[in-house]
Amino acid sequence: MDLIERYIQDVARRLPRGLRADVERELRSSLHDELDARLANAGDRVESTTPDEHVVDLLRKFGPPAQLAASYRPGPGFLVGPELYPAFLKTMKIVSIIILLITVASVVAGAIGEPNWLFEIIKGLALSNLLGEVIEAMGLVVLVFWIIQLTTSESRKPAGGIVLGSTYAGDAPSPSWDPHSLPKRDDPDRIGRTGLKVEIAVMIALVLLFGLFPGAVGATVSTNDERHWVALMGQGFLAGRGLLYVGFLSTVVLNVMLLRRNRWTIPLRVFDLAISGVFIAALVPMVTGGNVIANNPADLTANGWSPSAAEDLSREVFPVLDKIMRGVLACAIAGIVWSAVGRVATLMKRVA
Amino acid sequence: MTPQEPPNMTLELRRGATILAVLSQLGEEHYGYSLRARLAERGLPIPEGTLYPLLRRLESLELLTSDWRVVDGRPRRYYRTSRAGKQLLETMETEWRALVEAVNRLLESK
Repeated sequence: MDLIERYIQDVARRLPRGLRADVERELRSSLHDELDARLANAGDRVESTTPDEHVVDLLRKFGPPAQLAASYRPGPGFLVGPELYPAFLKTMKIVSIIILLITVASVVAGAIGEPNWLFEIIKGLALSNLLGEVIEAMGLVVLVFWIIQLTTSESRKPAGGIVLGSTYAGDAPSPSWDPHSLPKRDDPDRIGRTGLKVEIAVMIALVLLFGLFPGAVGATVSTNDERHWVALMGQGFLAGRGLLYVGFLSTVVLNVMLLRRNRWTIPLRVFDLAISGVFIAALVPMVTGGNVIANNPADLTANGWSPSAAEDLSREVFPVLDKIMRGVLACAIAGIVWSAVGRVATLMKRVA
Repeated sequence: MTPQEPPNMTLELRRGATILAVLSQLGEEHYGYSLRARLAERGLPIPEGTLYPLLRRLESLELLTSDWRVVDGRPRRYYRTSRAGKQLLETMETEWRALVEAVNRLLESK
């Protein structure tokens, strides 16, 4: 039975996310129906231990996972086929991370030694065209994989039309493919205890920081002849604090429960999604509301800035910082939504 | 190529007939395995790796409808020909009969 689950998992990971849960469910049902029929024909009792040969033969009949996944994929064509899809996704992630790290490292290196280093880093990141570079690199990755696909892949060669898909397997099993070579099963309910503990510590630190020391979130900023502290949290940010606390504390509760149970459960997954909703509800008003970065010349003069420098900062620097910060928060919302979509798919799978 | 494996041209012949065969049997509802068994019993075995994806594709073209039900403790997806599927079946059946007749005449006069 483990081989069947490994097979389903290997087919599913080659499919677009939206198709996976449904295909997995139907494939599991069909494989067990087929296996039952084979065992009944062989005179075995269904309840007895399943002979491995029956499962292996059945999976061979269904064909290699890449071939079956190609039949499930919608549409007659694709740039990157199922056999290359996992490697393609992995390459995309690695390339994006490398570009991000190189960009951040070069910006930070350029800001070292500058009196106003924090502002230089933020400005450098804003002007770095990071997004453009990532998109350009991804385009190149797609191009490379498309060329590999065209030159090496078998799955797009027999054009089978829209309805029948790219394959029409013969009646003979695929002797060259061995189901024992299927990758081992992932355990989606497994937790990483260290990560959860670190997250608890970070959440508690954030609650303390935002709750007890909001003025501590800031930076020492230098202008031509002045160097003073600037508190960064504006009214727009402070207004969303309440929901942020709920999100932070709920995350602590969730992680403690996970550590006690040592596994994900369906109620805990639902709780986790609810927390994502809380964070989104906290962040959206920050992006759309008042100043996220505090921009009040009176506060600046209270921190020691001269009225003229406070006026300059307030008029020229802080509006730029505010826009950058809103962009960062918008990216955070997009990240939470993206992650939640994946977790909803996992939840649906576990419910099914 | 093993002796059991049909040559590609035979597979090409089967391709077109498969859709017609599937639509013809889904006037009454079936889940994947029961349909495959029914087709095999009536002389048209369709490989596992072909039939199950085909059902989903036909459904995505709205030629089939489906719903999930738990029967004997196992969730199963039951398929049935939709109204559009029935119309296509009628058209394909007319084409098929005309084709068979014409090809038979050709084969007899060879």
